[in-house]
Amino acid sequence: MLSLKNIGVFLGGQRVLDGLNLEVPERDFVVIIGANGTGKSTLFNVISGVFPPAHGRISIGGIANNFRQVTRVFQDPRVGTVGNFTIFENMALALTRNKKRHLIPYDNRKRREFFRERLATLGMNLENRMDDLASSLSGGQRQALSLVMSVLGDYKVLLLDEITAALDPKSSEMVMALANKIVSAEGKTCLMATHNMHHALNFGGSLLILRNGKFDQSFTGDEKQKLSPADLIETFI
Amino acid sequence: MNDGEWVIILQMGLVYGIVTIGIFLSFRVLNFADMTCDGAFVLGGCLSAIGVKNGLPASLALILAFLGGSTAGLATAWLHNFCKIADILAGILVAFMLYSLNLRIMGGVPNVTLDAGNGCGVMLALTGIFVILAVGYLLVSDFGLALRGLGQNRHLTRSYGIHTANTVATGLAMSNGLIALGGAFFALTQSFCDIGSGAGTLVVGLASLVIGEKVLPFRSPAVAVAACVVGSVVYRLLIGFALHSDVLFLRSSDLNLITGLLIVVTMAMRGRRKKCYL
Repeated sequence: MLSLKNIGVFLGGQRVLDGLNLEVPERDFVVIIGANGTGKSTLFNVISGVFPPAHGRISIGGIANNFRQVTRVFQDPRVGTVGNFTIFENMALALTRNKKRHLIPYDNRKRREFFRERLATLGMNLENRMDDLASSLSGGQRQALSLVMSVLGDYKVLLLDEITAALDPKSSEMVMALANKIVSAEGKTCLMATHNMHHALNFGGSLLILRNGKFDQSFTGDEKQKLSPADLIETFI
Repeated sequence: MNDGEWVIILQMGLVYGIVTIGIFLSFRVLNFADMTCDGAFVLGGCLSAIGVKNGLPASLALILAFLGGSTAGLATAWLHNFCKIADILAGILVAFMLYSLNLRIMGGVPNVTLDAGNGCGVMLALTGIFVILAVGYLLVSDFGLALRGLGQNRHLTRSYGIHTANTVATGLAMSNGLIALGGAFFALTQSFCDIGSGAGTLVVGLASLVIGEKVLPFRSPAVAVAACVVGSVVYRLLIGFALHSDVLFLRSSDLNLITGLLIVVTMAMRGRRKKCYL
């Protein structure tokens, strides 16, 4: 589904990614860990087409540079939602992803019902607050909203970029559980970068460790079960 | 104030109301500090004046002005998107270059006079209403949502498949098209076009914009568009009263000072700003 071949990226003269290869089959949920500055965010920027790599090939669903099929949840919930938009407007913006945005009113009953259904799965009462501004939500609620938004339109690959990093421990657990639920329900390819070792071990399938611009070590889902958070922290050194 | 002055207040209010909607599109919706407007306003004025002088019907002259302004907006967008020039400088450059272009359009003379009474008043009123409805509708459409989203959060809109460069270009084309249309109405209703008539268009538009936001502090995009025109008329009224009140000892040459202070005072009253659209 997602295939990266020999990816190289230079930022400000620094080699950030160097000869990185990755093959992720359909429906796989891959977890990526790595110290700060090892290029996790750069990797996600390359996969979502924000900037092109210096060399290497990217294909998504068998099509080269098919970035439109990549959806992404950002680390900061303020980036993943528009604070000055209502919840409804945020959802409408997300729904029209990869579709032509026509001159038809974005607000209609059919959409309201569809969004209500989707928001209800969060169990946060957001379905009754659709006309509230996103900026009035708490960080956890806002990240939950950006999760739901990211899978509204059509996509093939979902990127979760340290989605719990900006949240308090309780909201962090809540958002991670929610992300896991959404990823299993959607059954699509997913890549998650995280600094939370518990999340890295408890969620998703195979685990990859990014170091020196490429994937240095990898564990399959079964191998991962035998690891402890302490083992993982050692890989950072 | 006599009847004639009331008519002029309403007329100027509407003319600059259309300009204000253009400024609203760039400054508020797209969050793009677009300085093209001083040039685009004159461009619209001289295109329509020369058009009418050469026998073009007023309606076609207005369309010509709109298209001319749109082209200026596209030029600014191109400088910003492809030459990576900051929004503010891109607009200033285009407005600067438009000065020469406008003089060429007017045949090398700094002003053109038209025959009085080409009856644009009704057309102005109808166009004003049409522009409010059209832009209001645009902003509640899927396309408008993308436009608004872009101004709020470029990271997000890019990741939701909105082509940043094209959307900015479309927005600026509409914005400057409307500003030029305002300039064209100014020329046709006043029966003259002057190379200097664009100076301060942005400031007057911003004054109208902030007044409108105070008068109608609602989030709805359609109301926000109407507020531009209401703000523009209120601005003209305030100026009219200020210049007429004998106690203030003001002269018409004090206009810029009054306008500037009006903006400062309105913007300093931040209390209700949060509730405003965007």
